[in-house]
Amino acid sequence: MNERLVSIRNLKVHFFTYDGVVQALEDVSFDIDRKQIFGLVGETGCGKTVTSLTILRLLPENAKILNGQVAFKGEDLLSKSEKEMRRLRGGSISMIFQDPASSLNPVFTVEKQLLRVLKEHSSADPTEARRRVIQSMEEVGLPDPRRILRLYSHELSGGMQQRVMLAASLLSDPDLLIADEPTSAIDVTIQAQILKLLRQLKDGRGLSVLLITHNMGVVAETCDRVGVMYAGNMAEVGTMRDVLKKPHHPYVRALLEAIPKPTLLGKELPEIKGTVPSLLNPPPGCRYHPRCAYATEVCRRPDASPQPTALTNSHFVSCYHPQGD
Amino acid sequence: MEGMSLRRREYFIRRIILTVLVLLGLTVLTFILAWIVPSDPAALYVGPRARPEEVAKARVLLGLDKPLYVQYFIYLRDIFQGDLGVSIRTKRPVLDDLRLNFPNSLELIIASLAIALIIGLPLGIVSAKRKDTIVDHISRVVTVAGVSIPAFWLGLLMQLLFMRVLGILPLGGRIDTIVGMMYPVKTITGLDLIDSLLTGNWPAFSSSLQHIILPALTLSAYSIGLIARMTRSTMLEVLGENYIRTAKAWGFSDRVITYTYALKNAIGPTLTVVGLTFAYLITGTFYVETIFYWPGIGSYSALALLSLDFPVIMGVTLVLGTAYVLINLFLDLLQAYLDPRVVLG
Amino acid sequence: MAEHRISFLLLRKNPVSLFGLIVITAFVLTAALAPWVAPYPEQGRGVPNLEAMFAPPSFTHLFGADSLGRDIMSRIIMGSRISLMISLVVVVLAIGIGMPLGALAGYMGGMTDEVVMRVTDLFLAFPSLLLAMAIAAALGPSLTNSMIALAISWWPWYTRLVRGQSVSLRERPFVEAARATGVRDRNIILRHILPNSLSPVIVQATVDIGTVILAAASLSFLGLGAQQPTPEWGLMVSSGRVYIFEQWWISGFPGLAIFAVALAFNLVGDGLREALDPKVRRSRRA
Repeated sequence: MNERLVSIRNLKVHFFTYDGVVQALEDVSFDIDRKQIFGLVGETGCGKTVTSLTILRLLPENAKILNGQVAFKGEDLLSKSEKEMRRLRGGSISMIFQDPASSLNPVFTVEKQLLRVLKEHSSADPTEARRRVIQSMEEVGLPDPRRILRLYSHELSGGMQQRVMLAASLLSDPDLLIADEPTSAIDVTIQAQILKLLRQLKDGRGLSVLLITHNMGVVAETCDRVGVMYAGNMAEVGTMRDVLKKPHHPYVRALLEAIPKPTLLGKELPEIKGTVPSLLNPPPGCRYHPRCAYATEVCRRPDASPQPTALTNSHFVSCYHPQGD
Repeated sequence: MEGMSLRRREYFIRRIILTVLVLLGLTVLTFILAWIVPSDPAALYVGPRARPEEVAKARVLLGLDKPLYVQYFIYLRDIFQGDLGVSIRTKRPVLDDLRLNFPNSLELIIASLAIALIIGLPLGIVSAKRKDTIVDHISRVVTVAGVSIPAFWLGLLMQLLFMRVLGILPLGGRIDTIVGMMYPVKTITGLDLIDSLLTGNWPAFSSSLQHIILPALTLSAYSIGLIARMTRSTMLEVLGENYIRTAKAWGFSDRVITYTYALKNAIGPTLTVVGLTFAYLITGTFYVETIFYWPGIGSYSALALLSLDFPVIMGVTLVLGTAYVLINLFLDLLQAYLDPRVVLG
Repeated sequence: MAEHRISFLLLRKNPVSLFGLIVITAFVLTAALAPWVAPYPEQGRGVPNLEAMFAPPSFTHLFGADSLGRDIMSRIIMGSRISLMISLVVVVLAIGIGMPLGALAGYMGGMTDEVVMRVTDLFLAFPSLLLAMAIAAALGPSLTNSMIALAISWWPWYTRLVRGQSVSLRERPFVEAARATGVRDRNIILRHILPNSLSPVIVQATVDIGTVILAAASLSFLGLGAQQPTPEWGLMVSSGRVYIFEQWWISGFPGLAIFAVALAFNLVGDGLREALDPKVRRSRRA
């Protein structure tokens, strides 16, 4: 059995809008292995969600995948038909979203929705289907599943709604779960529970998780590997240790330095000068170069954005002037 | 949270009470209207060549010498007893005339509504799914045309086209007179089309069908426009919601998403607009029935308006207004039953 | 106000609405210059011309002539004045009554709101045209009375519309600020609530002008509005009804005019609604 579950290479995605072409993703590459929680981190708008939608081919009409490969269990997802993709969605690859309240259909009971998911992916008879649904709900820690089945989504708390979403995604025994900011809209205490649940699912079922978040704290707690994105580029990828303790990309280093620490007491909070560039007209070459203290000519060269260089066999940085050791 | 059904029951009761109040308000409105009429009902009652004493006697008879609020209560009492006055034109009690004409109009309205739903709903759905394509643009023009075209003009055009130019459909009436005599329709529901179908009376059925098709199409034009437009905008809104994104992420097929999932979300506003179409269907009969010589409440009322037959005008206003209110009540309750969010809002 | 400039530009990009705008302009110009545009203005006003009785469409009478030989085209042109006048009067009256009531109800809330909304709901529970028919009949059929009848059945829509706006505006920071600095309620409504509710009212009014023309023609068709020999379009369709099979132009063209104008206003109204709706404008994704 292949260790590598997902392999993404040189992904390039553009959106064609009323205001112009949004160059959302440029040369994004990373891998996810089995039984691994991969954290995709970055500021709002850096392309994390677009990446996840590209994997499932759920991009809107005006988006075009101009280049790249997305391999899942050895097969290229970008060349699959829509019908084949539909079988994967909610099957081998599931996804949960940021706002569980609006992600569940308000006019159907929990039962109807969960049973429908099962119906689309298997041919179990009603009793068997119900059993599997309840089993899934118990697995995600929902108390009294039979009662919850009869309720509507607005009758549940945020934490329970997210668990229902999780239960739905586990029904077809997926290999990969994409979680797009699953805890951003929930109480901090419940947040911790959900993250713990994800770890349990990884250990228990061997589930891999692509965890998308803008919160470094979440990453530190939960993820095995992490990828930091900036303005559509993948800046640095590595194990959690690698990236958080030994960052090499100037952006990642600046980001980690900007986190308030006790040692900074009395001193000014370091900040990264400048603002995130508009993706309608991104800077040529490395998109971080306008704000980078180490930028040189080569960083500004158009169509020559830095490719990932291997620092170790698991730590990659896309920069012409990586810093540190 | 078992409070759902309790909330729902509360909503039902509240709605019903409101409706009763509205109906009472309706009687006040029609009463005020009757009071505004410049002509003297007593004089109208006894006719143009009456002597002053007869007019005075009629005054007392009709209770016109009593104070206004007493007159209102007499009016209310009469309504509850089913007395809506007597038509000046037909000399029959208004209620009887209405009861006679009712099945014909009912048949026409049901047929028109059916056509409007069969054409309007799919039109709206397809238009939403293929937004901004040529199909969408065409259907939007058709939709707007539907709500802009005068029903009486459309009816005349239909007659011109199908009767004069193509010569395929009859001029008017409900059924061919000869067929009606040779193959009389046994009255089960009072709706000729259905009754003839149920009794296997094929000549009558065929004739009824030919007679109803043009007026029903004409009457449905406005409703098609309303329903298609509302369905389109609701579907567009629903399809942009997060739970549709979730459904796609769960691998639901397009057909399931549109027809099973999204449709139930869209049904609420659609039902509301169906209620609204009844306003146009009801008042539309005034025109369509007149043009196609359809013997229903519409043509009866149009004649009353033309001849200023006030007892009929007031009676019809009250009856049709009440019918409209009750229909909307029914649709609101239906909507509350189907869509749990209504009760909370 | 910048909003309106944007919406005008977007409107122009929408060809169907553009078509509507052209028709409306033609309509308004025709109505304004009627006596000078009409080939036979006297016949337009009602003077018979028996030698052209039932004349079919030709070069002398582009739309033909009616049972009294009057040029249909001239009558339609003269009638455009009437239609425009009716619709403007009714809509302005309806707004004039409905808008202040709605603003008041929404802003004051409480008892005022309850009372106004109950009455409004009562009127709206009724099919508007039916109410207008009954009122027009009760007042006595005439052009003026039909306008009054229509205005009475129309104002509740604006009340409901503006009340909704008013309620949401009430919570906005700039209104609260005005209240906090002691501005009188009356002035708040006049200077803040009313101007900011204008946008949806304008969209609604645009569509309503077309709808009122349709409704007024419908009333006249039943004999409840304009009376002979006024060249009101609905009345013309009605009087031509008996001749529909042979002399189809007598009902045909006036009805076409009603259709064209109502269609134009609806198209423009639709276009305006789409242009002003923030959700519809294409947005960027990141």
